[in-house]
Amino acid sequence: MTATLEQFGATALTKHELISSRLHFFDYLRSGLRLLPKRPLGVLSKVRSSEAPLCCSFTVLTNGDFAERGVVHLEVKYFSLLGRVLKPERQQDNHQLFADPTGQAVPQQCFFQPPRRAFWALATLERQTNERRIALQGSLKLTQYRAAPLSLDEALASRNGYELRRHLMLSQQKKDRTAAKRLLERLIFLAASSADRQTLRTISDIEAVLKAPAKSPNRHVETSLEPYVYLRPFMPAYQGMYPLSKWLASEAMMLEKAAGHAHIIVEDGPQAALRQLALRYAGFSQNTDEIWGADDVPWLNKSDIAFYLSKTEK
Amino acid sequence: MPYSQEDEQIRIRSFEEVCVDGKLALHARGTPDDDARILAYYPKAHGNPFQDMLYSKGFDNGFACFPVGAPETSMPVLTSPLLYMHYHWIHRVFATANTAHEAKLASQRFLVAIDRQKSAGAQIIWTVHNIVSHESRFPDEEIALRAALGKKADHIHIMNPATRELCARYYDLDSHKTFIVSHPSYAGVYSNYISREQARLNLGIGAEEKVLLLFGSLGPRKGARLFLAELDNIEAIIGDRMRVLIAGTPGDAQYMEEIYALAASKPWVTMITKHIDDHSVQFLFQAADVSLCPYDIGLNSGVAATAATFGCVSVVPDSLVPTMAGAEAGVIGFNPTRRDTLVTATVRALEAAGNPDTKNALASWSEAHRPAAISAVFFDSLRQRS
Repeated sequence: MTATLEQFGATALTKHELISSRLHFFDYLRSGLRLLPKRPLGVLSKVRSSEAPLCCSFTVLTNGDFAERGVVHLEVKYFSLLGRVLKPERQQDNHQLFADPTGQAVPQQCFFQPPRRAFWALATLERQTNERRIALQGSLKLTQYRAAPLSLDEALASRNGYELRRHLMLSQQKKDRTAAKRLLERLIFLAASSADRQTLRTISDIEAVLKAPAKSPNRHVETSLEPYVYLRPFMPAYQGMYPLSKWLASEAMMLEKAAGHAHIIVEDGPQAALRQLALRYAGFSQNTDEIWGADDVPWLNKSDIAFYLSKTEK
Repeated sequence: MPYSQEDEQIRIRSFEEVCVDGKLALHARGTPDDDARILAYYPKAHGNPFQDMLYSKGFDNGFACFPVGAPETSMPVLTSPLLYMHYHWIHRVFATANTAHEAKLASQRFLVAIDRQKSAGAQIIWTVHNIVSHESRFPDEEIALRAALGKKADHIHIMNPATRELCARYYDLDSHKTFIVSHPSYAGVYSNYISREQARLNLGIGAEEKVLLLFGSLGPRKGARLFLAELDNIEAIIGDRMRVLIAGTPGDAQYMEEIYALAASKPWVTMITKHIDDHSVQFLFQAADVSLCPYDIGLNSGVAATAATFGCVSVVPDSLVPTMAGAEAGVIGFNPTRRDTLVTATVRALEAAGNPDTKNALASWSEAHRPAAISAVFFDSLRQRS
């Protein structure tokens, strides 16, 4: 087993290379397939622009016979011109790399969004396993990302987080839940971030809401002569940050309490489509066939809302 | 006492010294010297309180119990007190083996050590936890080892009344050597003061949601892969979305990749891939409606006993149901060779979970199987046999 990586051309860093790597100026991984030492390896790069994402790419090999996640940890720290440590604006300062068996390796691109005023970036690689030997080829020198965009299918087959997220943003704008789910499944498989899992839950929940009428028709007795005009939502506007069913359940609860025994009329205004959904979720009938402000509802388009309202019609 | 300190204390003392410490402790406890017993056990299970529960009434019954760090522990020839060597999860003998040949050699070394221990006057006890271990890397070698240990052991502790029949396909267990003492419940072992509502709030689970829990270390024979493949069928029958909690120590990387891939498309599956500490166990079982043990093979289940302790219904292989006699209303069996039965058993378990009689049956079982009571029975049985 041990010889496999060497047979594949991997060489260990020399003593001289190991010592000089502490200066963070030498990018020894560029010079072919190298066995990753136990000690972390770091290389300092100059950040030319904080606008464009920085990237680096690696091919990681293991002497094991299956792909394994998280065996190499890549972290970037940013510094100002004078060496002050800067915090990244988003949590994109580290990546867990997969190691692939020999003959099945694919390059893994990692992306970083530097904070403003970043002048230096120190990228550090660290081996996370002692069970298997790891060899790596690539460059720790961070460069600006200028690759040609990938198609959706290409992105889905890749481990390119930047392209996967770019497509995810597009699918969010287009409210394309099918594409978003595929992208999120891939992203979750690769990195399992809480934000991605929550987004997938939110989309999955929206589809469940559309599939099943939320509540049986409301049988409350309308004894009040004055109608209740439902002008604005009780809840803060729904932003798609958590499952819609929870927002609707809470909004419907408050609506029922506020309306008492009055007949409810919904009118155009703030978050009108959400109010229409909540009214129906609470089991009340709509006073109009129009749908207002469908664009305000994350991941739902006008036809989805029309479908829901029709499906839960008394 | 934290494990690290306990380990340290075990490691720095010789086996003989711990025996002397045990003898002195029993004497100080008032145990007549002729009645004193020393019981060494291997391997110490970290993160699983089973052994501490089983031995919890040791001193009350004249037994001083302690773990040893290696299966090949050489023992001094002691005339007094009487010495027992108790083996549990014997696949650990293969821990350092990388090939079947190395496993065979490890097995031979282990059996030679047992002969030496017997020559030194020790009686050998073996608790048969599984037919073959869930994590078995060398099943053929492990079965051979089990067959050999079955012959050499003086006492074989079983927890499932059908153990002999279930193991007979692989190896024989002498009926004269076996004695049955049930698996204890975890009453008083795990913290249990959190309400169901609080547990669900912490885990982000609504009051109306149905929650299935897969608890325990993850491995190919623990059935998580099969369960995730069947989840859509369960949801189709229930007609509702399930919340699934998978919590436990991750298994080998290749297997975990498959689990991660299956779970990635199921946003209502929450994976907590780490050891769950004793305090946190209550959150999972309080939040759950049903605990699933979709094992390929099994004799006993600490997970089902844990579930019963928290009043949670469990789904187990049919062969495990007899281990929970008296709690059958809350222990639903399925046939591991017919995977569709897992779906129907889960549906039945969800129905049973809503029945107050089920909770009562589980509570009665848990109370009757408190660790102290089971421990007393275990030592009493051992005394009667030797």
